[in-house]
Amino acid sequence: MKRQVWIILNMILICGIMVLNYYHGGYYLSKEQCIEESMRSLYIPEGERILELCNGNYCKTLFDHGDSFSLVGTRQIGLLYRVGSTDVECGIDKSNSFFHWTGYSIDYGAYTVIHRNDERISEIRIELNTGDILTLNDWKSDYAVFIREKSDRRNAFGMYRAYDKSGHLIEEIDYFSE
Amino acid sequence: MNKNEFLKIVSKQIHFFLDREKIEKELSDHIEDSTLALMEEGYSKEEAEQIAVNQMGNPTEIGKYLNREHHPIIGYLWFISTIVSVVMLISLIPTGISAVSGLWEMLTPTVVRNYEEKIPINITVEMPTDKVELDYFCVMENGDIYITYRTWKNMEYSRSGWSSNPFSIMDGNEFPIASGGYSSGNYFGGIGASAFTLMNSKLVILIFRDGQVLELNLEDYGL
Repeated sequence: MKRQVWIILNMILICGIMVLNYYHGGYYLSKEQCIEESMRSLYIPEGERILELCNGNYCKTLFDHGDSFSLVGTRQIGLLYRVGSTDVECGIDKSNSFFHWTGYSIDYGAYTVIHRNDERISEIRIELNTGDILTLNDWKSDYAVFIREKSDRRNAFGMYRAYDKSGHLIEEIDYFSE
Repeated sequence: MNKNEFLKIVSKQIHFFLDREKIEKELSDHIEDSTLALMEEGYSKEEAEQIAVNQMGNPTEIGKYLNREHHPIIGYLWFISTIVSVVMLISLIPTGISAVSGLWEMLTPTVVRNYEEKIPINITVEMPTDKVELDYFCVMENGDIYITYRTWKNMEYSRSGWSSNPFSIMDGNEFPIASGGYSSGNYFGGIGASAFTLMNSKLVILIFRDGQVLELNLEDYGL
């Protein structure tokens, strides 16, 4: 058989296997489609998209559902997107305290999500047990998020203090301080 | 220039390595045929071979012509695409084995080991993400009961691949009574078993991930 015919047959075979892997492996061409199908698959209700956090090829999108929030993760592999294995935290209830701390430890970093319930809070200063001091004042719809590179949520443990615009302390919460 | 030198110069012009040997062989055969014919005309072997080589023409020009005729790009495309196809086909073998074993698993109603009694349920619940087939109540020696099930993925609804327990188990007072279980996924969906311990109520309520509720009265199953 002529080489040109073999090339065509090989290309058809390669494309067929790639389409099969793409379809069954849960790969997507767009991040939005990946997130949308992941949420639909887990029956996560539609919510307001608040922000997106990326760490290398991994991204987390924060959705607000009113009484709760969800973090939906995606991983970029080349030009494609795929849902991570332990990458969705859904239906996390907001707390009634001044602000609410939630930490997630994953294999490529530790996320910490802070939700403020009191709009007077303009800044949160964190003295981490690791010795680092962080200041969070970039609020997106009452959420502030930070990432610690090391995959251990204990890296986000420490003393959290909330201040108003004039620098008065509103609340301090000890999240597993040593 | 002898035959070997001629062939070497020709093959240097052939860019696709797999074609070199073939072309060398063809030209060598041709020169040998001509040499034999000339020997029959009375030439010595050395003379005949030299004449045959000279009759072939300029080796560089012949090489360039043959290289164009054999399209090195086509040759490399053919070679690379064949290698890739073979590698991809080999990589499909584990997937194929897993798909076949998964299908076998899915076509057989699930039971747990060491049950004392099994009672068929035979109820199918359609969720957008999965179709759940409830197979058996398996009664264990310690009184625990397992509900065994198979879930068929609906890939058209979502290909994202999330799988988790398809339902939670409550008693008649909507108190969670699940006490363990297992599940495993395969190419088509998964199989699993959820255990619960009967308290006072004979009513078991399954609340599916999509919110559907299924009430099972164990007395209907002789339990």
